[in-house]
Amino acid sequence: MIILVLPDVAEDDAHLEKARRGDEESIVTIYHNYFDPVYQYCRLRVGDAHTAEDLTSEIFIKFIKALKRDTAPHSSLRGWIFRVARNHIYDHYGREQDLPSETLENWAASDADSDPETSALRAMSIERTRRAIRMLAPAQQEVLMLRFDQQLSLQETADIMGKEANAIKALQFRAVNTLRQILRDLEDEDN
Amino acid sequence: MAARDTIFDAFDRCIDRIHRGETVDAVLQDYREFANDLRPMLEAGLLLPRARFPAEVVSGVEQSLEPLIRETIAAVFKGGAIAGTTLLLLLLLAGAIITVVVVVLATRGDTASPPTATAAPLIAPSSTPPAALTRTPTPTVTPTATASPTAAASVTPSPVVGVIVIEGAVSAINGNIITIFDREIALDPDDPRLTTIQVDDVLRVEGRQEGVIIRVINITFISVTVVVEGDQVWRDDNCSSPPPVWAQGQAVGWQRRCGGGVNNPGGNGGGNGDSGGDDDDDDD
Repeated sequence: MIILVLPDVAEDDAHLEKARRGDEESIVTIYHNYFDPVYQYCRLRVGDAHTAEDLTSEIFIKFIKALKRDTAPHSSLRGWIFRVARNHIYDHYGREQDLPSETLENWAASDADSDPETSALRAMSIERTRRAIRMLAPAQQEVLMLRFDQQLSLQETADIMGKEANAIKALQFRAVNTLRQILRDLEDEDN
Repeated sequence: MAARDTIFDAFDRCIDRIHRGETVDAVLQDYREFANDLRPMLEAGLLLPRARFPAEVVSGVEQSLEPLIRETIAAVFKGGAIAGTTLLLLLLLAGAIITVVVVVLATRGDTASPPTATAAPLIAPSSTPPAALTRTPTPTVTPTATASPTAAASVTPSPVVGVIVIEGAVSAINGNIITIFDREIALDPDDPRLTTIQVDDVLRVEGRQEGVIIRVINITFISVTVVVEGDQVWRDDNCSSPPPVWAQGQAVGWQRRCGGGVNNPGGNGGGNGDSGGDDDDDDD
């Protein structure tokens, strides 16, 4: 299942404006709007639910402190939050980017899958995809999550990753190509 | 324009167009020279969102962390921005009062000694006010901070703004309401796609939350190709239902699967605006 909330930039900026003045409800609204994307990003990258939870809450606490210090952005909140999330994950695991590559929890199939066989197949395919993502190099994981999962634009992704747009084009192409190869290998292993 | 594109450029443009709701088939129409390479790449890329964690799980974590967020807001902003601006205003006000008093006393110009006597105590408080002035707003700030944990429990409905994207199988259809993962999604009652959507079809729906219902902005069929032209609909069910002429431009999957004989997609069959599909109704 995918439920994704894409930000409404005008509304986002309006909430941000109030949030910068310390308006609690505006900050909480931003938290609700961005929790899912930030948590999904952390959890796909980190794998462990508790660590992802800790990282996500720390990212929002950083955001609140940045509002107070007046270092939070005036616009383009989405890019800013993902940049903070990315840096925070690196800070957590060290700059050598030694992110865990195993320890995926078992995927719980959705309740909506009434047919157990369909449910099992779907769960296996999801599990395989997630395993494949985690086997990619960190930069490849990132570019795929930002471009395909979070649907950020090329330029937003480039800004977050500190690269040129052309470099992102090449990176995303190679990342998907590698993902395909890994998926093929995993499928062979499973069969 | 696509002629000078590298495969990297073409791939990037395809990603953007798919994000706007176009199908892989429709997008590849404009990149035929790369289509064979790009198709499996795009299909692999589209697997990524399917690896997301279930919304129910994420929402549970979100709710459980909300009190912490509210406490942090209270702690960080206690005596913060609001007190800061109030302090500034009061200092300006004090400065203005002092100026007025000094001017009034100076214009009187009666005795030399009283003005200096009154000016001294007036200026002195303005150097001490921080303590006195910040104390004034504190009583209003503190109750907010203590009230926040109770507020957290009542703010359960997530104030979703922006566009919601749901992708999943249709579990029920009731009139113009379809259900995907227990979310009710309303189509326009006259939407021609209503006649063709079936239970178990995998759809990608973009919409806006209106109360408990999501009002459709755009729908993309993921598990099956459906072409809509005015109030006509063609659904790629099987090889025995070939596309009508107006749908042939987008029935690439059917042509690939069910073999030739129909037409070449590069002909005039796609002249109904398929290549103009780069401007979806996803504006708002």
